[in-house]
Parts: sequence; C-alpha cells; structure tokens
Amino acid sequence: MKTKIRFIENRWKFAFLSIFLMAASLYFIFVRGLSYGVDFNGGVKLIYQFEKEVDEAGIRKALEGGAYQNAEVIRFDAENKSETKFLIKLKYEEGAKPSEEITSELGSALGAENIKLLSEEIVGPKVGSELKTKAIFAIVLSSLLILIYVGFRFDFIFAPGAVVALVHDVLISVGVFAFSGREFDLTILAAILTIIGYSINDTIVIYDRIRENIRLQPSTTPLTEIVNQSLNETLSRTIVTSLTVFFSVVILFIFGGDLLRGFALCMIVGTIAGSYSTLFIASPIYLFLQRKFPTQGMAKGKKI
Amino acid sequence: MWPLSLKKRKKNNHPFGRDDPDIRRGRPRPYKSMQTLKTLLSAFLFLMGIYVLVPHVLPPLDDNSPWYRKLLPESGLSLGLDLQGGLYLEMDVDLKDAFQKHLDYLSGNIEKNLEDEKFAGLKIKKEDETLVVTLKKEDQDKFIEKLRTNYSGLFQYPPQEKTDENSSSLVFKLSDDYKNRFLDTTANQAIEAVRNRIDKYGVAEPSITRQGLNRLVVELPGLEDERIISIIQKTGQLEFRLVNKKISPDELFKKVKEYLEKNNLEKAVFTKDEVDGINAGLKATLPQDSEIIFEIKRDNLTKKPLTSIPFLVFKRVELTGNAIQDARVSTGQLGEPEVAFALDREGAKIFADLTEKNKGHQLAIVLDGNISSAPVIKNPITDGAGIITLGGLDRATQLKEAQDLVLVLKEGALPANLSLQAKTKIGPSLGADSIQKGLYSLLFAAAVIMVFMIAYYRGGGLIANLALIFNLLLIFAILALFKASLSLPGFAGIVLTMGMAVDANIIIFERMREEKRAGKTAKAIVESGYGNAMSAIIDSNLTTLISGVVLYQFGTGPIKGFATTLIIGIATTMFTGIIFTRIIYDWLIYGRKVKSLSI
Repeated sequence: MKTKIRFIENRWKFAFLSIFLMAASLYFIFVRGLSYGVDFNGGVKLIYQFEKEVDEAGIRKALEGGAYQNAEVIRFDAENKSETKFLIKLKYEEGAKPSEEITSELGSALGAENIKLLSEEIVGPKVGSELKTKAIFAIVLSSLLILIYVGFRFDFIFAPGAVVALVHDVLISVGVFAFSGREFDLTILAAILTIIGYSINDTIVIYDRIRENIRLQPSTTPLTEIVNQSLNETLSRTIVTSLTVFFSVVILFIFGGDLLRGFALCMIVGTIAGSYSTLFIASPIYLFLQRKFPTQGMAKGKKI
Repeated sequence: MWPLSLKKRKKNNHPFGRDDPDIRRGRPRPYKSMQTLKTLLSAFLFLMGIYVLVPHVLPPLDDNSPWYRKLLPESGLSLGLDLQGGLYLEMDVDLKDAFQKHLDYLSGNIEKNLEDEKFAGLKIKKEDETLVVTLKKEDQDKFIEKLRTNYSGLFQYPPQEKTDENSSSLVFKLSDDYKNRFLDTTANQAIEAVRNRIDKYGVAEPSITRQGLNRLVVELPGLEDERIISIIQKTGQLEFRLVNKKISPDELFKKVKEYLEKNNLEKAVFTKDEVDGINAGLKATLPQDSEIIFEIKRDNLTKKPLTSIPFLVFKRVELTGNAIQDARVSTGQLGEPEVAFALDREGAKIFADLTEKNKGHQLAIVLDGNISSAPVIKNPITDGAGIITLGGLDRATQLKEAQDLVLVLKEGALPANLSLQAKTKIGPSLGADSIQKGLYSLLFAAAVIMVFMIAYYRGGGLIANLALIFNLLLIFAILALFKASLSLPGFAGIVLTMGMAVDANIIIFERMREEKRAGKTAKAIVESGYGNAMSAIIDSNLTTLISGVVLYQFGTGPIKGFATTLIIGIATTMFTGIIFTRIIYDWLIYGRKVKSLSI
C-alpha cells in the first residue's frame, strides 16, 4: 500500500513525546532507582519447592526468630498451579551458609519432607560490582562500534541520528523496566544489548532506502521529500518485522517462565521503541544535521 | 535457456562491494552452474545437519553399538547448567599472596644456594615486594654478579642501596617481566590443579576457564554434592618448617592471649586473615624470620575445635608437599583415619639432612596454614616417610577428609589460595522445567510466525517458512558441532533469531511486492528484490552481530549461551534467508518457468 504519511512535517509532535518519555525514564531510573538483582548487588537467592500449600505469611512465620527473618519472600513460577515455589532473597554474608539454616528452619516449621531446595545462587560483592562496570563498558563499546560502522557504511551525517535513536531506545526500555520495579539482572543486560542491535538494524534499513532514493530521485527533489518517501516506502516492512519480533517476545513473556519474564518485558518495550525511534527520531535528526552541513555527506548540494 | 538471460544483464556490471553501487546489483550470472553450486551446498549443509543431530534421538555411542550407530558421531548438544542442573563456581586466585610466598621461598633459596660463596653475615629477607640483602660492603659487587648469573632475569639492576645505622643493604626489586610471568604461570597452575582434582573426583564434562588475570570459572554439570568445593579450595599446601625455640611456649601463649583479649579475637579457630592480623599486630615482639602459626586442638570425643595453640615457626620452608611422591589413607593408634605419605628421593635426602642437623628441635608439619603436628625430632628420619593427622568430627568425616587430602597431595598443592566469589547450584527439576518452557516458547513462536508469513506473503511466505525450518536445523546442528551448551537464555536467543530471520525475507519480499506493483516480470522481480535488499540485510545483520560479539566477550554462563545462539543465528539466517530462498526462486523462475509470483 502506498502511504503518504507526512513524517517529517509532524516531527516536533513526536519529538515532544520522545523527550517526555526519556525524561520520565530518567526519573524512574535515577530517582526511583533500578531494583538491582543479585547479579549486580551481590546476595543470595534461594528457590524452594513446597509439597504442601503455603503462602508468603506462612514462610515468614517459619523464618521468624532466625537470622534471616527479614528476607524477601516472593512467589515463584506462579502460573504453575500444581506446584508451590517461592524465591527467598538475602544479603550476602561472608562465610555464611544461609541455605542450610533456612532449609532447617522451614523444615522444622513445615515438615522437612515438604521442603525441597531447587536452586541456590550466591554472589559475592566483588563479582557484583565488577559486573556493573563490565555492563556499562559493554553498552558503551557496542554503541561506539556500531556508530563507527554506520559512519563508514553511510556517512557521518547519518550516524548521529542512529546513535540518538539507540540511546532513546535503551533509555526508554530501562525506564519502563525501572517503572515496573522488576529486578534488573544479567538477562536484562543481554536484552539491552540485543535492543541496541535491533534498533540499529531497523534504522539502517531506512537509511539504506534514503541513500538509494537520493541517488534515484532527480536532483531537484528536496531532501525532506526524499526522506518522507523513504519512510513511507519502508513502512510496511518496518511494521511487519516489528510484528514478527513482537510475536516472538510476547510468546517468551507468556511461556518463558519467571526466569525470562524480565528479559521478555524489556524486549517488548525495546521492540516498540526501536520501530518508533527509527521512524520518528533517526530520520528527522539526519535531516537536521544535513541542513546544518549542506556541503557534507551523501546528500551534499541537495535542496533541503 | 540460459544464454538468453546473459543478454539481458549487460548493463548491470556493477561490482558488489565496498563502493555503493547504483541501482541494480547483480551481474552476468550463468544460472545453471551457480544454481547447482548453491543447491549442492544447501544439500551438503542439510545432510551435515542431519548427521550431527540424529545421534540425539539414538542411544549413546559405546562399544556395543551396532555398525550404523558407529557411523554417526556422539551427540554434541549439551545442556547448560541452568537446564541440566549442576554447580557453577567463580573463584579468585590469590595471586598477591602467592607472590609473597614466592618471595619467601626465593630468599631462603638464594641464601642456601650461595652458601658456598661464604658471604659472611648474609641475610636476605622479604619486605613488601622486594628482597633486602644485608652483607658486607666488600662482598656486594660479587653478590650482585652471582645473582645475575644464577638468577638471571629475576631482578632489576642496579639494586637500591639502603643505609641505616649500622649496616648497608641492597634492596632488590623483581623485574616486572618476571613478576608478570610468575603471576600468569601461577594462575595457570591453579587452573590445572583444579582441573586435575575435578577429573579425579569424577565429574562428567566439567568446564574450567580463566577469566581475566585471576578469576576461575568452574562449571560442573549434574553435580549436587558440594564436597567438591572444599576439595577444589583445599590448597593442600604442605610445608615442613622448624619451630623457633627463641620464645618459650608459655611466653608465646601469654603474648598471644593478651593480644587476642585486647582485640576481642578470642575464638577457637582463626581464619587466614585473622592469623595474618595477629602476626602483624605482634610483629614488633617477634623475631623477623619467624611467624605465629596455630595448631587446632580438638576434643577427643566430639572432635570439635576447642582452642588454637600458637607456635613460633621459622618462615623458611624446608620442604614442601611437592616432594611427596605418594600418599595413602592409613589408620592411627586409636583406629582413626590418617594420611601416610612418602617423599621422593631428593625430598627424602633433604628430610634426612634436616632431621640429623636439628635433633631435639620440633618439626612443624604445616597443612593449609595450620599446624597439623609438631613432633620433636629424636632421630634422623632416613626413609622419607611420615604421618599427617586429621581433625574431623567423626570417623566418617575423617575418612572423607583423609581421602580428599590424599587426592590433593597426589595431584599437587594449589599454588595459591582460591576464594569463592560466586556460587550457583541448580537442581535438576528446575532445569527440566526450564527446558520445557524453552521448547514450548520455541515451537509456539515458530508456529505463530509461520502462520503469519503464509497469511501475509502467501507463496513467498511458504518459501520463507521452509527457510525458517532449515535455519532452526542449522542452528542446532552448529551448536551440536561445536559442543556448545544450550541454556534458557539460549532458547530465548533462538526465538529472537527466528523473529529477526524472517526480517531478511520480509525486506526482500516487500521489495518484490514493490516491483510487482510496478508491473515487472517474475524474473525481474526476483532479481531486483534480492539485489536491492542485500546491502540493507548485510548492514543490519552485521550490526546485530557486533552487539552479539560484545555480549559474548563479557558474559558468562547462560548469557554466553544467549550470545552464542544469537551469533550463530545471524550466520544461518544469512544463508537460509538469502541463498537458500534464492535457490527456490531461481528454480521456480528458470526451472519451472513460473510467470507470476505469489507474494
């Protein structure tokens, strides 16, 4: 279908929306704060399976009076109605063996044969803080490499738009995540890096079309027109691809279980943001920059 | 036939490469030979995929397998820890401490080796990361020369001169090159020692890798017993040192007790750091060449630690566990398990020498920083044999401890301490649950995508779906080929790859639809559809690859699995999405002479 949506003309409306969303994200990330998981903060995560029905209150009661009575207790794998599982989160203590103590406390309250430790994760503070540093490094490195790549494949007027789109996507994904209050762990980091790759993916397809149209169209066509046209031409592809990736991550969200749920949520937001930023952010910024540097880049000399 | 198609493409001679070509890409292409080549390649990959994957539904390969089973390889796909259950450990190698110990060893070694030179009053001691050598001024030059020849490459020259009230000494700093090599070698030795112990313990398919300078990542699939952790961490460092009689046991005991009371450290057992602290605190009152090491006294019946008795022991190590040739579990006087060891020839000689020269002195057997026993040397021991006593809580634990110690002594001591930084233990039932979730997601996502593709792209959708199935086959085949392990995030990576794989096809199809709208022939549609989409597909996949590679580099465990499937997925997508589907289209156009495309 040949659409003729005036993307560029309406760019300020979209820009405001984006700026609002990014500001909101920054607020949630820095003021409310991200709920860092055990991977980044260090700590202990225990998953128990109970053979008889028990709720959070019951578990707390069992832990009362012990060293770990202030532990976080969360229902795990809730959609599985036939099994009762709970996640217990604790702070890290050098040399302590929390699983033994908690298992025995639960056992004496609920019957030892009803308690089963499914998994135990202990992360020391050193590993946690190292990971934080590595994470930031990885995100920055990825973004930088991609920026350089775009710069060489297209030109450096195109590149900043791609990077801003990227930052926009990551920021909003993390912001929504912070808003949801979910735990930010290693899988979420993987999601962010994937979103970076995917967002650029999208942006490049548009840029490729713009590049092609610049060559194809008669030189009298203003750049604004070319960009609009390119956006419209690739619209169906952008929507369909977003749909297929969206289906995939929604399925992960529904069927992937508690361990992948955070990842899937982040990806869902990232996918939507990715397509949005491609259409409404990357291209207007490119146009803006080309206007500023009319003699540089692929579209040099073109009428804006 | 194909000569006709040659005529058509004359104007499109642009090379596909770095310079952005103009509108049409593509070049004179003899259809038949390229098509055959591509089809053969696809068939080969398909068969290879089957070859590598079929073993997973067959019984495992062993000596009794029938001949047709022997033709196929072992199943390569392995389940990651989060799917199979097992232990995941991250440990730091205490290289700093190892280096300090090495300096101690060097000081003793140099003194001993240069004994014949008769440097009067030669004393070497360790200070921070340097060796301070005190000797007569006249001897200094000769000493430096001897050091240069016998210990070339170790030290930086010239040494600093330090003069205090009475004497002048030389301060030797170790060369950076030597230090770095030592740290690197020590870390590698630690890995090897850990690997040996794990092998002896018996774990199926363990994985031990080094991360950075001093981090070890150990994966032990299928294991639930945490005993392995203490086996790995047991340094097994056995040292024979002499007890310093300068301070009487009573005086020493009083000094230490005072210190402990003052610093609120009264306990039965001390950690290594606490012992270091005690030594630092009492440094002024102790002779420079000795330190305090504790012996843990246990209750005879319950074997619980009662108290720790301090001993003043010379820092110099006379003999280490390296000299132990053999070790076995034996029984002591009261029937308790002990470890009997035998020294090798050179060790036995040194031991005989030592016991002869030091009759009446106490020989401290130091195991992992604590005194195991300190018998008085009555007679020279010439047969190089000895006993190490243990302190477990009960016979069964003692026996296990003895067995573990024998393993450690025989495999060799750890060159440095290992401190546990992270541990994850996953039970098999959680793993099985995750597999189920992973598979469901995969199958369901594939189904939804395939239905959508047919609904939206009709005939083209069917072709894309075939490519998708082939893609999945190749991804699993490559994982099996490289014996990579599948994790839950790995499944997520595959699901994601599927979503992105159809993207390549979508780009092509959308282009083809445009060309179809413009009224082109089937041939031209395919030609320009693929041609124009190529650069977009390659660029976009390469950038996803960049973030995949970065993730692979720094991720561990399950996340690495995710990065792996993502990277493999990109490669297979390029092949199945572009080349494979092109084969089908070319066959339709040139083989079946289809005139209009269902897209």
